[in-house]
Amino acid sequence: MARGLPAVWSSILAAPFVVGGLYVYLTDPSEFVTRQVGLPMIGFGLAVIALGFYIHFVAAPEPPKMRERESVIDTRHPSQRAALAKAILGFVSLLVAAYLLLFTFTPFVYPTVAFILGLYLFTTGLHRYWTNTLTTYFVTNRRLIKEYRFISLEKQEIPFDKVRGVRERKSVWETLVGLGNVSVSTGGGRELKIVIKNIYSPTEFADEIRNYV
Amino acid sequence: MITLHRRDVLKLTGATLVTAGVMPSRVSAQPENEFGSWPQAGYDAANTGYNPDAVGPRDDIAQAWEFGTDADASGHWAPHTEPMVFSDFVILPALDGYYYALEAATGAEIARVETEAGAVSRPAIGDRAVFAETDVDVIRAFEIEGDAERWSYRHPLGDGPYRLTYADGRLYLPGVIALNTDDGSEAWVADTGAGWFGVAVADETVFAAVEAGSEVYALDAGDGSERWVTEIDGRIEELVAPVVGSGRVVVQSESSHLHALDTVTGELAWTFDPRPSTRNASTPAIHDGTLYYGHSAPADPDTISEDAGTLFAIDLGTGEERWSIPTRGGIGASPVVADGVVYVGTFGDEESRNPSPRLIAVAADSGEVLWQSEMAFDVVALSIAGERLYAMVSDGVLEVFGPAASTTPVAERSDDTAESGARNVRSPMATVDTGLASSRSGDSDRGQRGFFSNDGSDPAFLTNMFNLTVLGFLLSLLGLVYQMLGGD
Repeated sequence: MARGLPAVWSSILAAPFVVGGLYVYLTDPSEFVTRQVGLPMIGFGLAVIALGFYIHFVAAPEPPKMRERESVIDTRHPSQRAALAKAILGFVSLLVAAYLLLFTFTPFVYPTVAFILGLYLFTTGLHRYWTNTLTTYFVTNRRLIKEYRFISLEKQEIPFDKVRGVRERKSVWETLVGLGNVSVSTGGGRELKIVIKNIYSPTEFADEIRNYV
Repeated sequence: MITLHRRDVLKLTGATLVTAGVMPSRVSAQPENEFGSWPQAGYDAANTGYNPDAVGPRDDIAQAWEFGTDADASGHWAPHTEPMVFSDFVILPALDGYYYALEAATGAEIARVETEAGAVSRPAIGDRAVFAETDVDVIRAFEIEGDAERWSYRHPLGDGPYRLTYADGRLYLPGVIALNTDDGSEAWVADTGAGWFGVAVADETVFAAVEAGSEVYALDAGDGSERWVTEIDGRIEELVAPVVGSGRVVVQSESSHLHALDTVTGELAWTFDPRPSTRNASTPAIHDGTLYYGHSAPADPDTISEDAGTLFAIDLGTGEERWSIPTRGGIGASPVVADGVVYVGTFGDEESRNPSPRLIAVAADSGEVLWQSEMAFDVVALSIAGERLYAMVSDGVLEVFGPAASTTPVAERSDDTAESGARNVRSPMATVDTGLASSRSGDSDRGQRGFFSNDGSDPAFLTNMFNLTVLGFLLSLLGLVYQMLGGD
């Protein structure tokens, strides 16, 4: 089972689409927009709920197997704060789009722009939320492991004796919400890199890794 | 109001309506009947196009029945005649030269009669008789109750076909000639040369315009004496009869301008310029101090646009526009009004972005489009009686619609009509994606809602919000799943 409650939160995030779609379809609030616009809204909301349940009950990865004399020192999960902020901004933009579309006489280009922007922010926020839910970083005394599974398992690991660089980075967005990224990479021709995204206290985490390098 | 009984319809025995069986031999007078009445062109003698007893389809529309004739109106010089309805019967003067008598309930043909005059003339019903031009320049009166022809009258000036008008025991013919309907005798003759496409009668006054001239006459209905004559600026449109209401008589000039004259003095009250000016054969309708005018843009392929037609609501007292809506196609059927709803029919134009003709219902007070229905052929004439809307389309078929509750909804009939070879394919009764929106006076930003602007110049696919919404959500969902499959 995935960490957190993705089924519950996905349902909460999707509920406005289902409710809004039903409202549009049943009440036909605008003379300029067909009530059938409510149907794709309902469909989108139901799809989000279905994916949320899938992630909750099916998709989460299992913890990695430890080798001999290996133990887990730290386990990190990406924070959901950035994802949540993005999704909320997307919601606001989608609400603006719905208002402009259904309750004003402005040319359709304005609600369309707000719709595209809102949908982009919401879906990227939702994607980040689900991805974070399914991603776990394990720091053992020998290696750094990243596991992700949606349908198939994706596992990356870097033995600490191969690490040639540990880098912290905070984007403006992450600085605003108090998060950061730590990039751990090997050198050489076929560089392997694990980016630990959206974690609290990235400096502390980077130092922890540096101690083992 | 009279009620006809199927069993009373006479068999075809001759050239007249009665002997042809178009008129039933026995009727009983009853105050009400299920199918209402539309007794003459323009409904009443004032040509208002307003039926106070009708309650047409307001919220939804469904086809009740259809009846086909051989009257293809494409390119015909004269506008179609709307069907007359009285009691349980429909009389359909068709351009194929026949009068058809149909059962109002089912559309089943009872009888037909070929007329030498051609059926572009307009019959009238009143004084328990039907008046029709059955032979060239010959008008006959047929008893509704009984088998007899009451009288016949040969128009001394000729040059039919005629639009007949009945009012208060008189039948009015072009010229103007008033006949006593009891015996067909001339009550009076006014040598005006006016009224060739119909007169209007109201307040004991006969109003007649000189076709392709400029004079509008007001004649005393009692003796035919001239009350006033006014010359308007421009030539009068020959296919549009005067309409009267709220102290105004309104005539239309060839430039499509409307000229409203005071019914008492004949003074010009106002002129309405719909822009762009063009010849326009749509007769306005009048109800409750408002004139409803369907206007078509010039039939110029370089200028025809998404808004080839406009329905105006005009204050009869002042001539000010109350609201207007673009009808997309040009006006094919003059507006009719019943129970607070204005109905209008449009042409399609394959060269434009609106190839589909439409039937449109609009709230009379606000200009809100209540519903619209796409038709396979141009809508060329409308009448409304009882709960039903009668729409003549250009391939000679009479389409009859009623509210969905009492008939089969159009959407549900699509399979049936396809199997039966019916010609019309209609969209669901949604007004939201039609781009039809009212433009109210004092609210100039309202009009057709477009994508980049509301001037109606955007491609239709950009204004279909359903498609754009489906596309947006689908792409988002696919993108979401694709990204999830790709990992972090």
